[in-house]
Amino acid sequence: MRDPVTGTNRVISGQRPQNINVAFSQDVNSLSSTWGVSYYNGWDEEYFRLQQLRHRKLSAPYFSAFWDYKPSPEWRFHLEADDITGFVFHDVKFNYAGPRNVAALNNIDVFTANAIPHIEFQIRRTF
Amino acid sequence: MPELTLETGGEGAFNFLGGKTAFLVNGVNQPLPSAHAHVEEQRGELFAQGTWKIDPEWMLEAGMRAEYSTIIESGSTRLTRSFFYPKPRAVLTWSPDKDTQVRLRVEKVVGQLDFNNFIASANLSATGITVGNENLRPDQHSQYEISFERHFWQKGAFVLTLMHEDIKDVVDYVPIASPSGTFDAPGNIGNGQDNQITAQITLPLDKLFIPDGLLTTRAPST
Repeated sequence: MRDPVTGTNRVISGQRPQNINVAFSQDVNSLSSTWGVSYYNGWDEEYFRLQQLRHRKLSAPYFSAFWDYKPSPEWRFHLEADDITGFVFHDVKFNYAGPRNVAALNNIDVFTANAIPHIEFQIRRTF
Repeated sequence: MPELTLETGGEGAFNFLGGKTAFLVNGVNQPLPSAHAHVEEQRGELFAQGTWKIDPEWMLEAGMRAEYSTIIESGSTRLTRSFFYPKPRAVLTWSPDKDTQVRLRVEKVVGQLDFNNFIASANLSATGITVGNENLRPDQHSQYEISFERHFWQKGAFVLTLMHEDIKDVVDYVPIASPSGTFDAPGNIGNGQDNQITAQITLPLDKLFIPDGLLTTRAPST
């Protein structure tokens, strides 16, 4: 794709080069349970504007795990730990004084957010 | 014995959106392109498709959709545009046995316009001013795809898909000049290409001494 500002080849804004998910689950009938873990490789994307190049990224690894317990058809207990290692989100904006092809870099705006793991527990009773 | 089924139909849609944006610097209004816009779209589509089961191993699905739309813009800009897109699609499937399938697909896909892209907006803490673009056209994708699917071990499956698409009128951001300056606007930046590899695996782990274990992956890459 040819950039309309610089004339160079680049990806389309917002296009993610990869997207990888791996999940494991196992039914344990003797415990009336199913458990599992999953891995997500994160994503990154770039946006190209007249005076700004923006890079957004969710850093890997992103792990989650769950345990599902169904002691009877009516009862269900679900325990889930999400984002176990705490993902990091980056949003970096390279702001130029004018059009990117001719103007100097004016400033770089860096935003980083560190997420924390969270745990969810559900009890469901079907009547 | 060869079997042939035919299907035809149509649909219509009417969409509209209106919006106003004001951008002031030190209390002075800065006129922006498409700061005040009302957009209407009248869209109709007819389709016909056939499925031909040539023999137990081969099947061909082929069809054509014809989309006609008129977009009427009023407000800061008054413009009426009409589009006509024929959208052919063909899928050839080969099933040499009950667990294996190979599919070839050729299809033209036309994107739908986001009406917010016709109206100016501002996000001063992130991306700045984005003006509207009355000349925006939908992107058009000519897709060529081959996929291989194999089922195994009762619950197991492996699907590998390779897809190449030539994209005409890619929608991204373009510079738009106005008396108030040059701004970003959603716009068509020319033609591009996209290549994707997708692997999906469902792997039962019983044979690896993990009873009722299941490993699944999904990995699209460009």
